[in-house]
Amino acid sequence: MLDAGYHEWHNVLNSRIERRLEVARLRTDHFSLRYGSVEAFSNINLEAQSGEFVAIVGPSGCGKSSFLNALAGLISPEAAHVEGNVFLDDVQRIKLTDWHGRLGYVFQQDALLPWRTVLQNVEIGLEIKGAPAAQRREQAQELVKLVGLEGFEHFFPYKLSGGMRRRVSLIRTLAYDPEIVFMDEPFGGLDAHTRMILQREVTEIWQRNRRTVIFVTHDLGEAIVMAQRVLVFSHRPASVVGDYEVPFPYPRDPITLQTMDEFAQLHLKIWRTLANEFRVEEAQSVLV
Amino acid sequence: MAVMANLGIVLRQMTAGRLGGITLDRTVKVWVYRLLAIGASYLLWDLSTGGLGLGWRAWPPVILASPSDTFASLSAYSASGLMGRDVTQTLLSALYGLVLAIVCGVVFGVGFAYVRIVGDTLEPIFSAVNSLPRLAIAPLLIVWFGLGIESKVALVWFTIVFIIYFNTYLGVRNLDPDLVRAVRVMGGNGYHLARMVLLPSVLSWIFAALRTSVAFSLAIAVTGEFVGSTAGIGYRLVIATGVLDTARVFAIIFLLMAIGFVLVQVTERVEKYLLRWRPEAIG
Repeated sequence: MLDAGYHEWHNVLNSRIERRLEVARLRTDHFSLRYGSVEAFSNINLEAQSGEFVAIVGPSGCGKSSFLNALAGLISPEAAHVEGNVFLDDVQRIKLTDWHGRLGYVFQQDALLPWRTVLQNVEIGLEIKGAPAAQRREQAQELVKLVGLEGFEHFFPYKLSGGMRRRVSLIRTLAYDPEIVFMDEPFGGLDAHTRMILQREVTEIWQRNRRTVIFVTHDLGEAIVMAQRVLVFSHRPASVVGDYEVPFPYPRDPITLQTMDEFAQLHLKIWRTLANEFRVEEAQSVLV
Repeated sequence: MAVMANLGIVLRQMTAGRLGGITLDRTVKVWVYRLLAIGASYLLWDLSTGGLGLGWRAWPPVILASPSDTFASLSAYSASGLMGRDVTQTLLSALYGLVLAIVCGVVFGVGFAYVRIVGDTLEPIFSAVNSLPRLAIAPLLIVWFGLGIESKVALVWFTIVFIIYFNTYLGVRNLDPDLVRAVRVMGGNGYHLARMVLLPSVLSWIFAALRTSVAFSLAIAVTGEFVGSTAGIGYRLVIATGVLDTARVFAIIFLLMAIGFVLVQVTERVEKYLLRWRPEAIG
């Protein structure tokens, strides 16, 4: 039975999704990056709708991370040559400062400030935005609860396990409510079990509060389990060689999903494209 | 100087490893042994200088003063009011020198680490100056700054500033690029980076060197007073030595030991608190 409160909440949520539909649409146009004579990626035309969860897979070292870094404007013009355009809601963005705190980025390393407690780390983004201390604390506390880290609020990072640190890193990014979130192998170096739990947690959080997500991983299974769309990058210089819809409905459970035939078929289909890239890379390395 | 500093760190780590993780039982035992060792040394000292009612002396009083003479001299020194003045003078020299050295060291360290060309240019020069035995310029500093507190402050400053400078410089150069990137992505500007990443990182490097710096500042202030002064613990020590007042010399040495011990203990506590976010805070 649905009561009035539920309807109200539902309306709020819908209006929020509608609002989001107007923002955080990401588009790249002939986007290329070159370090000296080495091309990291070339001619990438990517389009991510508002609130869409896009995963990028590709052979290791193909330039997936460079792609995210270049998108975020983290690569200095002296270090590399960037060509093409990046548009956020049809407005061109190149420098990091152009994003003005609308971008969240979960790195391969958790990058927690070791001298700040869990809460203080989660508050960083809000602190930068100039939110009052009480409000910061309250929001951080809420997020800590969301990922089950109650009781660890005042712990310094060195006392946390790898999985806990990733959770803190994740909610630190969510705390300042970015419209678009980049994740670069956010579960790298974690054990299989923790990975699976975090895959589900992140997918659930994304469902509840939809943000545009660009998720880079070398794990095809992880990409299919989490994302709405999987892009396959070629070997270096990377370009998009495959674009697959993942039709499974949310909420998804990584474990049961992976036992389904449809999953296996899609996995195999994408894998063929991906494996081809591995072969090319291998052949190249033999030649070199 | 650097060797001494490193030795200090190594010694502290050894002690930390040995005392870390022991049970209360062991702690009590260690303290009993400690007191026994101190008591035995004291008895031996007293015995060899005519004490314990035996009246036997292994050496004349001018070589080794007896405990009773030493403590009598100490209380006379204290009662005369000279002790208070001397201690104040010496501690102020050490403190001013230390504070100025920290301020200058941090400013130069951060500045030269950022303006890379200046840092690279000056690094060999700084290293050369740093290898100069500090006491060699003490007489010159007396000529420049006089017999008062200023010359001692200058000497302490000159000794400590390099330790702080090198640590700050390393602190900035070793900034974790991941942390910088993380704060920048969240919209942080130069001010946020300085407050959230640079300052804590640099402070942790400085605090790692602070205990050595505190111990040095006291030692150098006293040594500076040897060279030329009109007051201070070192001044009093030179005078006592000059008139072969060994009891007074011993009294002053005990005083110095006590002050040094307290200073280092306090610094250690402060350091432990401020660096509590570290997995293995040294000490």
